[in-house]
Amino acid sequence: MNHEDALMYALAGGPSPQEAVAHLESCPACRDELAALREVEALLRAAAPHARPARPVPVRFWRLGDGSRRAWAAAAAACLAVAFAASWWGVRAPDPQKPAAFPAVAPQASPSFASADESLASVLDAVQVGLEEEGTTEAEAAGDYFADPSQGGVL
Amino acid sequence: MARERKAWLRDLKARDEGALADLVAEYSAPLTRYLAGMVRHSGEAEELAQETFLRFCAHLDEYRGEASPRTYLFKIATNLALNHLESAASRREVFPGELPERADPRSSPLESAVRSEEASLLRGALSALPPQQRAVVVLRTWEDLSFREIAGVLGIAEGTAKAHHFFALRTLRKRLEERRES
Repeated sequence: MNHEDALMYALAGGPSPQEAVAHLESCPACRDELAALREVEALLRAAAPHARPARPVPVRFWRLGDGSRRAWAAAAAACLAVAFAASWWGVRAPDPQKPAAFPAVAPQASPSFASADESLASVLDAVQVGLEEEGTTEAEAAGDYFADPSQGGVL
Repeated sequence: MARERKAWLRDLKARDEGALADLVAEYSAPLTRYLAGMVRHSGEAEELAQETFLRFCAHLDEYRGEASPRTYLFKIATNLALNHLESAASRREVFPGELPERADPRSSPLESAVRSEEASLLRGALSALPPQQRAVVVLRTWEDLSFREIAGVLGIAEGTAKAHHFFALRTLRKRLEERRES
């Protein structure tokens, strides 16, 4: 067994083939590299970012039938793509107010996704017809998309 | 997941809002963290995580419960991340500090500073890895998926996932050593 295969098995954890174990026992260079790679793995584990939970699934969306949900999801995905593209363009596009002679500098703020929220809200309104077809009343649906459990919403 | 998978899936397909709440509560943060590792932008990761849940709900009738919900969700998230990385939007600059770090209260200020610098370096090097290697490393080290699960998520052989893991760590080690020497 070569060095790389022996290291790959050892690094993956779990039972290793006997040849891999024997190779590591007889190869100090592989043992050193294995220790170094495990250190990198530990550092990387510690470097995991703190993740905020994603926003909840809109309750109105959840109450739609399967067909309507797919149409809604496709529309939402399109809005998301537009929002990403718009934010990218916002970062890249030169400010027409600035003189052209000045070099471009990094923007002061990260791109905003507020436009995506607006787009999603528009889509939600557009599927109101679908809600009615599903038998969900306006009163049931009103005000509960992106609802919070602490405020009496489901999600 | 608190309830048994079959019962949960039945409830989910019956549009039980509690079943959906269980799903979101359990997988929201892991998905966002994974996607942040993939696209290296916390805001975009949150958007993509929500999109993952929307896709899951939209295709719920196709989900038979053969794969675990975790594998299925990470699979959707991976497809979304790879599509996103291919798009023009992801080619913009990444600003430092976009991924908030976990604070370790046991570290001294100096240790924290060194660790923070190495963490930043590693995350930078991570984003330079080929997407499939990056996905394997993030799923393994941050989300503790087994190589079998990773293989299922990425649609590759288990041995390939192990090889990606090894070569990715080797690349990251090289980057880290270059930085320490400089």
